Amino acid sequence: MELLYNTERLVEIIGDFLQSCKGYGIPEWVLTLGGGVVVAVIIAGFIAVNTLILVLAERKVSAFIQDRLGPMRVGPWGCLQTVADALKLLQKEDITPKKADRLIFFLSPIIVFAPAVMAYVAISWSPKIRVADINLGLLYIFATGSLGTLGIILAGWSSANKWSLLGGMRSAAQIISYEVALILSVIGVIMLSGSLNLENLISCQKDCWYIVYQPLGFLLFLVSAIAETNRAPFDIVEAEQELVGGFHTEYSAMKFAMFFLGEYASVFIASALCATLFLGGWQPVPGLPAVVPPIIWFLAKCYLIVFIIMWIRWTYPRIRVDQLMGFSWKFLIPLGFLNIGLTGFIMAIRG
Amino acid sequence: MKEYLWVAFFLLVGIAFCLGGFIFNWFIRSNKPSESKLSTYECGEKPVGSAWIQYDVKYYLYGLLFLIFDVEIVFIIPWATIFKGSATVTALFVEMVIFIVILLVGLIYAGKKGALQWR
Amino acid sequence: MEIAFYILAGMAVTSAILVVSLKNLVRAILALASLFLSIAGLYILLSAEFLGLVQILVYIGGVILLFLFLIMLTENLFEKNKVNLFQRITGVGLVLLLFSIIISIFMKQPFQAIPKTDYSIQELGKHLLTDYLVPFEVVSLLLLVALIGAIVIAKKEENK
Repeated sequence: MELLYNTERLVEIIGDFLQSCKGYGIPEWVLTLGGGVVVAVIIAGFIAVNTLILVLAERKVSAFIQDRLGPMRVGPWGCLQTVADALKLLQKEDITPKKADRLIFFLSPIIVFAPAVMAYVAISWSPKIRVADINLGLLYIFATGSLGTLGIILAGWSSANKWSLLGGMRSAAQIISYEVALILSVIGVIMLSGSLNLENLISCQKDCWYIVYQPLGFLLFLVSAIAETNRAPFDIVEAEQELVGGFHTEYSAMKFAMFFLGEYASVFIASALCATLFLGGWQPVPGLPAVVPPIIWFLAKCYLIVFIIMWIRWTYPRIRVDQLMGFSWKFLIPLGFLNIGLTGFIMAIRG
Repeated sequence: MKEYLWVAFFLLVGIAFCLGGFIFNWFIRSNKPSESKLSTYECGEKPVGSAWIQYDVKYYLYGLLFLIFDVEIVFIIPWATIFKGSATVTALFVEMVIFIVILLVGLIYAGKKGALQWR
Repeated sequence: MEIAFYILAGMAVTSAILVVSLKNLVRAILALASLFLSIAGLYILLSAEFLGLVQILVYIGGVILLFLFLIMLTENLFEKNKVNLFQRITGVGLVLLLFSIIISIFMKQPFQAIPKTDYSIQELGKHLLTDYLVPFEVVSLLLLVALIGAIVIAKKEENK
């Protein structure tokens, strides 16, 4: 119980254990590699389990909003439904269409999934729990995000399917349009804290969360993050009625699962970033005593944002493709510049 | 510098995770390929022609617009990091306003020419 | 450190060779992306962290994507296109010219180890907005020109 309450202890215990192994004549590099593998297994396990939870949550939230029950059959309250789905997906036949470019068809799910995993390196989970303290963490996460786009368009092209390719192209055009708005929306936060390090950004919000100073930035970030992750109401790329299944129409079995895992991994990254930048990361609400462990605060904030994203998905109808592009270039990006201007103006006046 | 070793390591972890999944799937999957299963999926219709044909120029235009604004952001970020607590805040602010306004002129021009309109 | 350099440099050279030798254009672009990635790694190895990340953000996220869109614009991608002797000779000549220019500049440059300082992004920002203020504002004009040029060309294409 004490472990759960004080998660930092867990990190220390693992570190101490590895240190004590040195006494038994185990070479240094084995220990380093062992520590790395432990961290990798934890993060990879988190991504897999988190996806299962998020998919179930998605279905339950949608059911709740539409006044249905959602999955109820598998396990109590249907909570094993996604586990069953995952197991089924794991043993499906893996089909590569005859016309496809086999090499790129094979590589694209990896190009989508690996950067999503890489983004978890920079996330700061609690004061002591993080994989690595990257100095330009914010820019690093955006860079990994832009790597994933490449995989999406390559997946569409290599399928040699018109609708897949069209879906991939639309997806790429959408992601790049909203990426500009996304990065512009966090410039205000960078101006306030003068740092790109996620750790620093969190400690700057000790007294007041940035959502108070940057309400416009927060809204812009949320909207563009939803569009970045290709989710409804911006899911024009897989608009079933027009494009079959979007860029992953031809994919099956584990290759399809990798796109799915990558999508949910990046949805979580987007909400973690949102919680870090605007909601104070792992810090409790200012003024409250630190009773709950920081990692619980952090996860609670992340899942709150995830819930808001799902709420939006099941409430609003899909936006038409021409409105979608115009919305970013004519509305979000000018607003992003306005936010920078306002923040700069106020900071210049107050000195 | 050391933290980027973790980045490289996690790149390998991501790739290994995918490959592990593929290999596991390869061992337990069923495999009965047939002519129609391997053909391109178009909701049951027979596919006509190749998918690798000429696509619209509008995608290229969006790509160019993105590249230009991406480069602009690269210049804004270093500016944003020195804004807090600087002795010459007003000068910095004016300098950036000039920088952004010049580009906003471009954005307005693009809007006027209908380049932002999806067709 | 040295091992990391050799791995990244090896990756860069291999992908560069693949870029020019692959017949399939999309695969060549994938190799180009891996080239950019390894160059970003080299920048980070030289403690130019910001430059490395920008390399990924702008080159892989922007330029490679632009190339892919450009390929989707071309018709008959996989038809054998005939290259005549004149094109071959001009191509080789231009490459040799470019190569000799680059080599001659390299030979003039006295290479030396840069003193190890802290290349922080704040430092970069300070220099950009004080010492290099005029080039900084000119960059904005340059981007404006590129923007207008892109729109004019695309509009011409559309009217055809």
